[in-house]
Amino acid sequence: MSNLLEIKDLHVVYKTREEHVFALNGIHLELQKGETLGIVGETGAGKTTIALAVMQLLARTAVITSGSIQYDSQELIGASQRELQKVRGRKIAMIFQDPMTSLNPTMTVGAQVEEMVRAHDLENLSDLEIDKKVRKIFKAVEIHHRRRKEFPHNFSGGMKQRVVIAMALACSPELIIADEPTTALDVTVQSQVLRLMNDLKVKLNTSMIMITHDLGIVAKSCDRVAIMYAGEIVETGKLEEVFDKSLAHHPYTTGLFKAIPDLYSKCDRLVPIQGVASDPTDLPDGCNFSLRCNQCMDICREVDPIVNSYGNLKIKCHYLEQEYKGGNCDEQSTNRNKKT
Amino acid sequence: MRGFIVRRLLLLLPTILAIIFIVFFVTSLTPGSPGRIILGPNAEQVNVDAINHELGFDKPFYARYVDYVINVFKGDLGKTYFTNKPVIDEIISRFPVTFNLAVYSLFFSCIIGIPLGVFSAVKQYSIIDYLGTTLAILLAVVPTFWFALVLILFFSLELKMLPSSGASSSLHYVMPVIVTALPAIASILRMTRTTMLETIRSDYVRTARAKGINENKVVWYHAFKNALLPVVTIIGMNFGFTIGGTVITESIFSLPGLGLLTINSIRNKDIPQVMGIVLFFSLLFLLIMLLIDILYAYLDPRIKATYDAKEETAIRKGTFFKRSIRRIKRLV
Ligand SMILES: Nc1ncnc2c1ncn2[C@@H]1O[C@H](COP(=O)(O)OP(=O)(O)OP(=O)(O)O)[C@@H](O)[C@H]1O
Ligand SMILES: [Mg+2]
Repeated sequence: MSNLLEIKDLHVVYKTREEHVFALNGIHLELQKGETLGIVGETGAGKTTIALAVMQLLARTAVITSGSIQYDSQELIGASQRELQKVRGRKIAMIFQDPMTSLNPTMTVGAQVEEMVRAHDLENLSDLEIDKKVRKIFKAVEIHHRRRKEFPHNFSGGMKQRVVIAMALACSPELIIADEPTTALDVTVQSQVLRLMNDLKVKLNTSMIMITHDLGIVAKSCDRVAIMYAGEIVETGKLEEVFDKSLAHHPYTTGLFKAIPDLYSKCDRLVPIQGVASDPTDLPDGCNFSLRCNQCMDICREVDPIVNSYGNLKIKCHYLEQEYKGGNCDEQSTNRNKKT
Repeated sequence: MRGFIVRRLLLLLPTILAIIFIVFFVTSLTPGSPGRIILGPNAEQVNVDAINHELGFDKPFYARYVDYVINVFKGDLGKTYFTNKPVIDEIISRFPVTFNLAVYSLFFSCIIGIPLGVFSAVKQYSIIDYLGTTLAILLAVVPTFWFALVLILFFSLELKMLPSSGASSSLHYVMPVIVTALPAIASILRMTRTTMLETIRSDYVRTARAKGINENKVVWYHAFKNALLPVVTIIGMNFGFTIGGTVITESIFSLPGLGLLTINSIRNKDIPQVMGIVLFFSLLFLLIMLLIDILYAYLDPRIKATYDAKEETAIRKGTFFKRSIRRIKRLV
């Protein structure tokens, strides 16, 4: 099966007058049709930057220094406005991180959804049919269609987020990029919104990139997971394997799981990862995680590690490479029970 | 919304009273009596006193103020000292010239300033942007009177293309309109650029782009509409400035508008005329500001919501008041 989305060696730098922020440092990602990929990482890891790079909506200060982003074998980097207009909304839709500011305050929510429908209306629908479609979309996100005529300031955060989701779903895109779609919401609404998105995803068979720093959400909705640290993907793999504590993981992944409570094993105290997130304006030589890593070796401070496969997991780490003799051990059994 | 407008119109009343008071007070501080001004320095004191009495000038200050206010509300601003015609007639006959000048220059400053501002913001740091902002600074610092004289020298004396004084044809308006429009272009351009730079970076504009709609639509429909509020304010204020600024332009180009009338009346110490004009200008300015506030509500639903909310509380208070009265009545 060919990949729907393929990101290769993506480097993005935010260049401001004072400093250069190295937000993405060689991202490789693949996504297949119908698949949901979770991107996990702490704040500032560059998750939103990946999403915006795919949409080609990066801020003016951002420079893509190298790499390629192919959607359905179409290169998006350097694509013309006209080509991008056909991709955005219709093929790839994005749910933005902050629902409070992502809606136009001077347009009714209905008009904003309708605009999306009209922008990609290939069948030349009549006004009545468009109205019907908009009504259906509102029904799908459980907002009464009568509230379509209202402005975003009349809506609560959760409702705004639903409108943003409604907009993203309006043209049944092939890929949805959801950038922390539930961070702004409280827990009950959060699960509602997630269920809603899952339902719609199943109904329309869309692929999805779910960006979050909540491992619980990942566990509920993703097929595959990519763990990000300081502009790099340090580990990718199937959901069950990344979550499988009996397999060997990147020290950062291990740290992440130690920092959240586990329902099944009792522990008195959570272990946070030591130190603070690496400064993307001043990344260390060698491995970006070396400053905080509890397995750090000399080589880690000098040489940037390469990505190796450990079973189905792909991990970028010197320590594992040494531990498992060059990595490429394909039998999963050798990995088991060696390292948690 | 209607309640808001009515309330604002009612609020105009005390404002106008205050303005009248200030104008009246300041002009009453000027030396000399109307009789003396009308008859000249060589007239007999008896005749002067007679005219002063006829005009009510021998009454105390507050009585004259009350008289004046009552007359103003009747639409009578008094008679000019010199032509002895009603002040209001003079104003009305001169106003169209000034109004044309203001409206034309505002029109041109909008259709030039707004697109330039938008393009400067959309193509920030491009040649258009640098040209636009340089132009804006240049226009803002060049003094009107100097520029007017340069235009006259060039177009009237050298090229003999445009008449330098009078208002008998539309050609007469060309230079005055240019002179008044230029500083307005500068301020509108700068305001448009600044607010557009802000909105174009905003999240909702990014959302709009993510929809895959036409870039023109993103710029004008999403970004510009949200940037319009401060721009409308600046346009309204410029309209006020333009009308006030006509004093200079009109006297340079001898356009027989309100500005020229103001200058002449001040020179002649024609106090009722001066008061009338000041009052008229103030009222005009107040109305423009009210218009801007109403426009706000149409441009920004959040502002409309606050207006409506205020209205609602006002209504609630009203019913509360009525209910209390009813209760009191029942008790009595
Ligand atoms: N417009 C910008 N200009 C300069 N630096 C930026 C800009 N946007 C993001 N950055 C920087 O790029 C890095 C990655 O940012 P990004 O928004 O992708 O993080 P994130 O993983 O989405 O974080 P969060 O979980 O907080 O949303 C951060 O260090 C951030 O400071
Ligand atoms: Mg983010």
